[in-house]
Amino acid sequence: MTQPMRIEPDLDFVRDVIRSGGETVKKCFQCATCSVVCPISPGEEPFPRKEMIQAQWGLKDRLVRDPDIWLCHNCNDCSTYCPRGARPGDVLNALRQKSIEHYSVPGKLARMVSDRKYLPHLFGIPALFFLIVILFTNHFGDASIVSHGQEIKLEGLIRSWKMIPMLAVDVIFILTSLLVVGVFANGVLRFWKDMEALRPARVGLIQSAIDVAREIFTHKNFKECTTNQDRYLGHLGIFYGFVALFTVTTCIFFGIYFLNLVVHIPLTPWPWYNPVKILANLGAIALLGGCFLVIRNRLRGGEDTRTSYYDWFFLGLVTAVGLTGFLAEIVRGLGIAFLYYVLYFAHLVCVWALIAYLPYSKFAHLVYRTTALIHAKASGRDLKSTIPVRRLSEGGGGQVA
Amino acid sequence: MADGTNKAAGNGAILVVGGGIAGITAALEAAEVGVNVILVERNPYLGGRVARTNLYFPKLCPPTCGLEINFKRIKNNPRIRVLTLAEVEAVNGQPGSYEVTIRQNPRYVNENCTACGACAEACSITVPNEFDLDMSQRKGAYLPFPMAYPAQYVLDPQILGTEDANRCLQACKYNAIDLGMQPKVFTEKVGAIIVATGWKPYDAKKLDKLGFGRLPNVITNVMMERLGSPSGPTQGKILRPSDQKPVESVIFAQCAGSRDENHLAYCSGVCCLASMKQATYVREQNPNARIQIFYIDVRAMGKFEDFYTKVQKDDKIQFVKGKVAKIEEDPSSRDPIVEVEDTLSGEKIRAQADLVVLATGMVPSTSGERLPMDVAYDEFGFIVSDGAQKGIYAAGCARRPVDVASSLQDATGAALKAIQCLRR
Amino acid sequence: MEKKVGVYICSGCGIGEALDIAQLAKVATSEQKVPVCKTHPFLCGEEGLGVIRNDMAQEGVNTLVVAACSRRAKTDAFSFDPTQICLERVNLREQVAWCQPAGADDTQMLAEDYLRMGIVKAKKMEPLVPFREEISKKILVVGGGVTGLTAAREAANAGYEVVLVEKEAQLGGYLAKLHKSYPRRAPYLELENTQIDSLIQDVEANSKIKIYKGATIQRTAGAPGLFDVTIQQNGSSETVRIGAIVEAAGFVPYDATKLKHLGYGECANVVTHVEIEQMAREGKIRRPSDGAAPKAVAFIQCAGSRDPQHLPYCSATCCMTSLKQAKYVRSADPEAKVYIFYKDMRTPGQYENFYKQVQQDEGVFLTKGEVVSVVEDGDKGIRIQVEKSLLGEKIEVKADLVVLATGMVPVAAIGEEIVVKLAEEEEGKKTEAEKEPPADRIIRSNILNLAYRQGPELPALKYGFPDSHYVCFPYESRRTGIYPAGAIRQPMDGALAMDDATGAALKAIQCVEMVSRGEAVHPRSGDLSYPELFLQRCTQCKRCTAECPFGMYDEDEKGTPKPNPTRCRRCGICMGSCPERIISFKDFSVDIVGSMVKAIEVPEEDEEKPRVVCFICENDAYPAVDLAGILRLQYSPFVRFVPLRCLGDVNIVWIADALSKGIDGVMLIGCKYGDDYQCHFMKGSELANYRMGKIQETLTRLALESDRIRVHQLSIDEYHEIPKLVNDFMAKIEEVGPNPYKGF
Repeated sequence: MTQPMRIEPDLDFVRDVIRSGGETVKKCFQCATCSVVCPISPGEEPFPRKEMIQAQWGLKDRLVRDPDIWLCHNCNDCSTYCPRGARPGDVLNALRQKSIEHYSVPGKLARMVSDRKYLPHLFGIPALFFLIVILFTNHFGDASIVSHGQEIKLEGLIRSWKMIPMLAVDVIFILTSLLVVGVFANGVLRFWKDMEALRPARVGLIQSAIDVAREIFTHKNFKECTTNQDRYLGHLGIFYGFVALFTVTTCIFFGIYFLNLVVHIPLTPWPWYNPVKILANLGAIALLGGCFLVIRNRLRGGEDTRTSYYDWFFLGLVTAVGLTGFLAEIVRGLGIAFLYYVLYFAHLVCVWALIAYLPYSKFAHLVYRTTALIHAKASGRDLKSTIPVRRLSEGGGGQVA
Repeated sequence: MADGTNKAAGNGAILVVGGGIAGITAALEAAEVGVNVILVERNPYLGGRVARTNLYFPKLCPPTCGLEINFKRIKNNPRIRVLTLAEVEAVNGQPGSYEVTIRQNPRYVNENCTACGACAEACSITVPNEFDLDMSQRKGAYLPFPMAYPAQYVLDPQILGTEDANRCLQACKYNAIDLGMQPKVFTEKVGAIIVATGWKPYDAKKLDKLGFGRLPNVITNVMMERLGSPSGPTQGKILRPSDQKPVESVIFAQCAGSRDENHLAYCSGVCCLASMKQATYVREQNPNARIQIFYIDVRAMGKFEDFYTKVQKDDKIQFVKGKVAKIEEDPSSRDPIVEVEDTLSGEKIRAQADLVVLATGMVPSTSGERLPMDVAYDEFGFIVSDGAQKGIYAAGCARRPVDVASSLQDATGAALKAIQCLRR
Repeated sequence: MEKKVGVYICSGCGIGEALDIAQLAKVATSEQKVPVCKTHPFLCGEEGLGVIRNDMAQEGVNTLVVAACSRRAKTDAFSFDPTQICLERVNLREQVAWCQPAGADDTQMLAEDYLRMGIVKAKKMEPLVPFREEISKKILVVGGGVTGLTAAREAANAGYEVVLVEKEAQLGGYLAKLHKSYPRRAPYLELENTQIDSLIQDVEANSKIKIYKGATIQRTAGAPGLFDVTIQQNGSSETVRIGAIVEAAGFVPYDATKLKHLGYGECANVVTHVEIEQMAREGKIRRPSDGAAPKAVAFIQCAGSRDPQHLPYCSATCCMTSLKQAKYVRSADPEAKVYIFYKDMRTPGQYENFYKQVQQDEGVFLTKGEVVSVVEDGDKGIRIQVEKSLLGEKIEVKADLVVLATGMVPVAAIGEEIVVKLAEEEEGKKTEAEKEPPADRIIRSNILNLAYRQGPELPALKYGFPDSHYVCFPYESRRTGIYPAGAIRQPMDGALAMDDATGAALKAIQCVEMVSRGEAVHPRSGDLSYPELFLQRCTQCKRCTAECPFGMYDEDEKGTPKPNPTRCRRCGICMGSCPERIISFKDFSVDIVGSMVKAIEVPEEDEEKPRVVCFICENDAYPAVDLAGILRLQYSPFVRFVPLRCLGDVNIVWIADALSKGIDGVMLIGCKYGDDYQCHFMKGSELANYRMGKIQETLTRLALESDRIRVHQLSIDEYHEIPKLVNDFMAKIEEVGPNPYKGF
């Protein structure tokens, strides 16, 4: 006889889930409509029915480790068809937040990101820090600087590095990024270990990773959603916007610090016809377009999706990054110096926040979901597996309850 | 007594709205105490929903057996006046003395009718038979069902002005057909009113993922009753709609609309037992047939549990906890395929069967169309009848979704409340 | 009264086309010597009826034979005062013209036989004289719980005197023990006060209600309208004349000491619904072991209910009660956890709202599951193991208080069970072959203490509930004028009990009113006939007293039956049971039916026209035969249907008469019997079947094949079976050959 598993509901966790956008969790009466209408829920141990009762019972340890909550793409078909108004989509969303708190150390930071009262701290502190740096490193006073042995007159020029040298920026960002990578590494490793404990990986990781990458780049799973198509385009835009901008940043970084040693690379900004520049602008447009779609969708689609502060924080930050950057570029074009520096400063702070809070904000899903998807593939958890049809007349059918 | 012969009315009388089994019972129980009753029914016949029911659970006995006794009681009781094809249009006054306006639509057949059936024979037009939920056709001149009371034919207004109308007229030897019959609007004085307007089945087309209306072999439980009934479209043989083939396997999807905030938030109370009963129809006809019943909770209250136990003993009937949330079709066989999570095994099932029966719930007749009288409704349209209001009493499924026996206890109680109102 | 018979033959609806009406009329006039015989093409029309009325007025015709359509059709047209006029209807339409080939000799013979039978019957019928006595219309209500109180109040409000007997010292019953009630009305969300106090006040303030508290019923003698009820109250006893009785003795909670497997009596902190309700009432829910406020409370549903070892039925209220009590615990301590383990969550109808409401409470944890063990921990905490839970695997939960949702046991189920004895002599000579006639099980529950020959209480149907097992007629009990209501009848909650009580009160009122008019109550509502016994010929065989399904007869010490007409439902089953044929109704008797059978013309053997008599129940088989006709189903013309009030009326002598007259076979068609019996008189068709089991032997002794008799069960909707049923039997008769007694 199997050892019974000891259950100790965590009332505070239930409250936590309710506070984090899962306020409908207790309504579920376990009919499992959600598991069936979900376009990607697998045949074996489908979700989210089991997650719902675990959440009702406050089984924190199980839920924060549960990879299935990451397989959900939050299309909300389940919430639309739920006969009880229990909105499993929202509950899973809240659970993912709890999972991020669990894996991204320090969890406190994640809780701050999810709590509007910390908003001033989260931006005030970095802003102050950057101001100090600018105070000591700006070139506003100088008449000219020397780059590659030749002198550049600063008179009338509007340049970001006049306010803060590229080197300073890069040092700060590289250090931050290293931290972020560390946090993620730690989180992902723990997550992976927990997943292995549940369902060990069987097939090659590389192959799974490639499959998942393909899925992500094609946004295959988003197309599955029946109730909500706007999300597909919106997410696609943001995703590719970031891909483009990331590439751009890498190019510039690579160009300035390495290529520069061989051939002369002029200081940014580069002319509009420079392919990197073009890519940058396209990226920015995709990002902003995506944000617009997603925000519009969330604002109007109150019925099939609900948005917590946690969601808004992330969405707002991304939009801010895009807007500040794009506007700064325009303003510089128009030659409005002061406004440019203000915008660029804002841009700087936002980008830093975006990177620094990556492991704690909703942005973390790009890491944890990807990890979960890879593991799912690797462990043979075949999503939207076609369930074998059993002919009742031939005695098929489910277990007798 | 059927309409006409007796003019029972006055402040000493009770008006019963609805001639289903609850209304019939309320009327009879009151009349047998000794008060006069006017029984108003919208259809051309009495019996309402149970008249269309094949068998009652848990006894598996035909409703016509009890109806026969009740009709006999009505025939022998001069205190009851039955008005079919009639509706209440207005109610004025207060408890103890109401003036009700009743509209009686023409039957186009009068008291002379001997139910010999000559008119139906002469009539050639056929129309979909609403009594069989349009699964069969009936003549333009018809007896609603073989045991209909009053045992009087009806002319479908559709045939008026056609050749058929005259053919019927010619065919009748007893001047029973009156094509010029007009609606009658008249008022009656009564002292109290019993509302037994009953229920209608929920519109299964609204359950988009379940395919009713799109997939021929997905039917509702009320349709299943007609398929099982000797007076039904298939003389009681359970044949599936797409190809009239006797069924080998049937799946019952419980709570199709009930306990669902997007449809009916309440539990309809009888569907579990109704499906078990219908499962026995199939098993009775085919010893090899297999049944699966997918449920959220099996609700067999009180001694009905015995029936559940009895059905569970049949090893070809399976109960699975999980709600049918999606129904597709196997294009070649036209077999429906249901998808469910068996919540106890935590596994999804896709089961294919010859026929799927949706256990659709009860909607109070008063949801959507309110009565022309002062009554309170709950959020679902059921009439609130908790003794607070006097003079008008609801009974049976007009009050809450219940099985036949409970609704009759209710109707009997309502009869007493009404009598008290007369004597106050 | 001088009887004058008038025969009226209708030739409408195809009768005229099927039959030679003139020939038929001759049977009445020249053969049966009927003074008045008229035919009409549309007898039920104004003109046709005018003919009849005219003869009644001018010719003094007072005994009518209407040979037209079924007795079930055109009842408004052919309705006459049964105390003045004898009416017999001969069915020439559904059972002749519509099911036989027109113009055939056999069709004509069939019609002529039916006419003969009708005339013979009409000649022997007498106008009815209702049984009237000075009766009491007082209603006795037994039990002062919510059901009894409601019944009393409602009956009194309708203007009837009520006597209310409660065995406890105060009124209110179980409901008075509750802290709160779960929501009983829209919107079905919040707990309510039970409002039992105001109900008690209403009843105590009502001048029409006489209340006996701390009282029991020592003896209930007599019959509806004439009950003599002896009430015992602190030593003294008093006898009251009562009209009808509402039995509302209620329920007791299932004895939890039988639930050791759920830890009751084993673990200090396992209590029942009743106990925690009590605690809530006193304002503090505490652990019995140490009086500490529980931090985790587990409710175990179906504790004893839905369990073949204990109560096989569902107690219907426990789910709602646990949800309610969960609210008690949670509102007392917002940090407390409540677990509810259920088999199925049963909150029917709008009660679903309350389930939803309680679910929303963050501290309530629900799952379906099977509780497999409940054991005590070191610290008097309790570990509960649950299998097949919705949380997947087998789980274990720790609680410091466990509440068992115990079910309801009707008070009527508590007491020694006795089987009603048949007449001793029968018991004496019982052979193997002989089937037992259905015996009643009665539990000595000390509620009514009926002074009835058939035992002291209402017969128990199942699990001790004195229910009728009717769907269509939920209040029909096996003892006329006594109506069980509330939780004694079936598990139900207070709200339903109040509705149920109101209904039962109406039935009691209806009973006294009908009795006062000399009418029968359900199912032969309004029937004015009643059985009269010619006791000089009675042999005290006690068959009638033992076999009446309603316990109508008492017995004197010698065993002579003492009829109580107001208990009688007029089914005539006693008529069938009596070997001496001494039980008769004015319009229906052994002699009348016997004569009808004898009136059938039996052709000579060489004519090869066999004859079969088919006795059918008029409630189900007769309508079925009518329907066969309405659907124009055709069948053998050799069968003669004789409608009876119930198949239980069949007296063996009729069969002897038939066979000795040369009739080739006898068929009996009655309702289904057994657990799900459909007989409106409960045991009629079953008794008929039992009696036939005995006649088979007689036949063999008479050197007649037992195949000549066949008993069938048929329900009203099996009309498609009629032709097959009849034709199969005819085939069998062909095979057996003609009755040797022909022409004797």
